[in-house]
Amino acid sequence: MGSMRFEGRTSREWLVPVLVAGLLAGISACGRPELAGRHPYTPLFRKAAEAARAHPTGTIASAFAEAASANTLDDAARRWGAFLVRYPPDAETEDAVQKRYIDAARYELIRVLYLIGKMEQGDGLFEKADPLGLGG
Amino acid sequence: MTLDIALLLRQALLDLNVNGTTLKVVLTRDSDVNLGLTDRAKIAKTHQASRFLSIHFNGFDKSARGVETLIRPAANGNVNYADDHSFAERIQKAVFQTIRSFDPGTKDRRVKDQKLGVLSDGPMGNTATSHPCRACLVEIEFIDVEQVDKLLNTNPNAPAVRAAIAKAMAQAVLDDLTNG
Repeated sequence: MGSMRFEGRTSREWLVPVLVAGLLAGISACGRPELAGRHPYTPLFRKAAEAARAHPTGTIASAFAEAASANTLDDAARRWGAFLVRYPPDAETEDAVQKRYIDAARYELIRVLYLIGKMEQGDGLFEKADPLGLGG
Repeated sequence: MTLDIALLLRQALLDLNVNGTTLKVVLTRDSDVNLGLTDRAKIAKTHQASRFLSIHFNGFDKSARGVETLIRPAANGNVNYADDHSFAERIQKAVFQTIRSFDPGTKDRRVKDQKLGVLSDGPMGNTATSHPCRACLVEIEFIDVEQVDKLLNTNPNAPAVRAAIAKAMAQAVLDDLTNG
């Protein structure tokens, strides 16, 4: 079977520029925050999120599980942000369990912000999290 | 299980003979009721306690392990940070070494600073000039880990392990009371 011809070019000759253009558009889209935010989200602390699902509604564990169940990066940013408003990192805590969920939520949000290209916001949260214990 | 350990600790403390006298032990609860954080600290003040130990079990992702003991940071108004740290070190060592003697898979997560409401000095009766009560919170182990649940809860030997932990904590409290 022979190739179809369009104004003197074979379909295979058209295919290369079309694929290259599509690839460039894809790369460009990945770098655009508004499009990156639509990408599927998988939490970093997956095992903790799965374990938290078993906890009753109204607990910090169930709030953690709810935030971790976001479908897209944008949704995850919104949910982790809401979690940290409800459980602020600087507030008094009850025990190590509560603090670990709050710390994990903070790192989830930082990661999501980086993934959707919000570098400055991510850096701001990262500095506040103070993973090196510099106390600045 | 937390309450069970607390009841065992109370008995272990009462069994200690300190120069012919027995210690006074007050529980913030002796049934499955839950008090607010400040209310728990106030009980220490009401009874003029010299030591306040909050007992907890940890949990996160069904795989993290270890013993950790928490104290309130100096930056968050802890007026007797060094005293609390000394008390916490004794409790941490006692619990970690006891659990390790039954299960080498445990981990020493050490004494850590954490802004904990239950360890607030004000409600406890501590001030900058007078701070008689040392306080810490021990997270005994990660109870969401199957191996830990077996060790402390479901194995036939679990009651003996819990009793050993309580006895070790009681000795740590006594050491802190007598050695400062």
